[in-house]
Order: sequence, then structure tokens, then C-alpha cells
Amino acid sequence: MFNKNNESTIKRGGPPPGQPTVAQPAVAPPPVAPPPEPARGPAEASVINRGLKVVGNLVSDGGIEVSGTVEGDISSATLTVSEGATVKGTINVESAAILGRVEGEVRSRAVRIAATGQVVGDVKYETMAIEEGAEIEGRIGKVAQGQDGAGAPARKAADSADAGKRASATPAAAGGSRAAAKP
Amino acid sequence: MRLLFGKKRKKESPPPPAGGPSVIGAGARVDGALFGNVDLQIDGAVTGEVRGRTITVDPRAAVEATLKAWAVDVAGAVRGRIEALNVNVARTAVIDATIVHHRLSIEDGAVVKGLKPWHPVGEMTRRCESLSGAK
Repeated sequence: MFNKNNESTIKRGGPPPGQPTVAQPAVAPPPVAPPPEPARGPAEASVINRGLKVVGNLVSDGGIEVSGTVEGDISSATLTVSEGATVKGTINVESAAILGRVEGEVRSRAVRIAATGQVVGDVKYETMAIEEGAEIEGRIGKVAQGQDGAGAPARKAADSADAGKRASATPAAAGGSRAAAKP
Repeated sequence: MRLLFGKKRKKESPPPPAGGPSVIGAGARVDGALFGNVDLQIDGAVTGEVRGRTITVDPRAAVEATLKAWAVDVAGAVRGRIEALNVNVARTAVIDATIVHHRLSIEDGAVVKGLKPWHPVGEMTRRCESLSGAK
């Protein structure tokens, strides 16, 4: 009567289909919430959609798609910053596609900056594509293969947090040199 | 019934979302705050604060945060605080949190530790409304 919105009352009878019915020892202490640990599942895409704002660091071993706003550092395998999206912070990924606005350093093995993309900050890359119309304010530097720029993103989370603070000052120091759109 | 309880029921439904659903994937970790009038699915690890339209916590998720939304569905691990008009706890959930609610359902088998203060619908609706208005 109080709970008319789902099937929980119906399912109550049998064991859940997915779970083994292991008999718990009667003396077992009640399992109180364990300290949450990073979920170790198959790498899965995260989506920060329009309307969502994240203030803080984002680390993933899968892909991240940002259509909303992120204020903080991002570490992941792949990153897509969609058109209309904003990222303020250091990006440290294997491959990045930038169609929106990034304020901060971009470190990525493969970088693609689309015509709608804007980067205010340095870009470190191994391979890069810049479409006509893209805007970059900052230095662009190639990183030798397997060195610094990309690699274990999660490991870099901590030091990229510091880098993020420094990166925010970089564009002004670089004098806002607008790079010509040539790979 | 309306005569009996005097007041006309306030609107209880959330406003339409500001964007499509968002997902914190399994294997992803967020430290900080997430907010927006959107439907959010958490499959990974989140520490900090989450304010949304609806929040769903997957069995794979590990949340150590304050969750505020119109509706919160929990099937994973949550530690901290939950504040929602409707809270649904699935059997796979392991919760150590204060659950501020108007409606609460807990499925058989769930582990739910913590206070569960109840508030009338008007109070919870007001809280939810201020939540989606806040930027």
C-alpha cells in the first residue's frame, strides 16, 4: 500500500537470479558500508552531459565525453570535449578531440582540435590535427614518443593537479600568441 | 481526503532536465562536486557532493558523498548523506548514511545503516526546488 511503484514486493519470494545463494554464517557481523574503493570494472565511458557541472578532478580508465562544464583536471584514456562544452583545468589523456573550449594545458598522445575548438593553454602532443577555424592560445610542443605527455593517466592525476594551477597563469605569460592552424 | 488534510497538494514532480542523462562510468572517479538539473547515473567512484534531478547509484558504484535530488535510487555503496523526496534502496545496496526523505522504500536484503529522518512532502518539495534552482 505504501510501495506501489515497483516490483519489489513481487520479487521478494525467491533468490535473486544473478546472485549465488550462499548461506551467510549466523555470526557474521552486519556488513556496514566498506570504505568505497575505485570501481575496477571494464573501462566504460563517462558522460558529462549538457546541464551538468563538475567541480573537481575526473579520473577514468575509459573514455570521457564532456558536453557540460568541468572545472578541474581530467585524466583518462580518451576525451571528447563537445561543442559548447567547457573544461577549465589540465587535461592528461591518450587521445583528445576538442570541439569545445579548453582553458588549461592539454597533454595527449593524439590531439584533434576541430573547427569549433578553442584551447587557451599549452598543448603537448605526439600527433595532432587542427581544423581550419580552431583557436589556440598557448604554446604547442611535441612530446617524444612514450615520454611525459601521455601514458598512465591515473598516475598523473596528482601532479597534474599542481600543473592545473600553474597552467591557469600560462596563457597570459605566453602573451596570447595565436598559433596558425597547421599541424 | 483533501478536505480532511486541509492543504492542497503541492506539485511534486521535478522540472524537465536541463540536458540529457550523464554517466560516471565504472572505472571513473570524481573528487569534488557535481551539480545540475540533470539525471545522473553513477557507476564509478564519487567523493564529495552531488546535486541533480535524479541520481541512480549502480551496484558497481562507490559513493562517499552527499546526494541531493528529487529522486535517489541506490543499488550500490553509499556513505554520507542522501536527501530526496523519493528514495529507493535496492537489495544490493550497502548504505551508511543519513537518509532525509519523504518516501523511502528499502528492498529485502539491503543493508541500510543510519538515521532516516522523514519530512512532509511540502518541506521536501521545497528543498528539491531550491536545489534545481541553485547553480
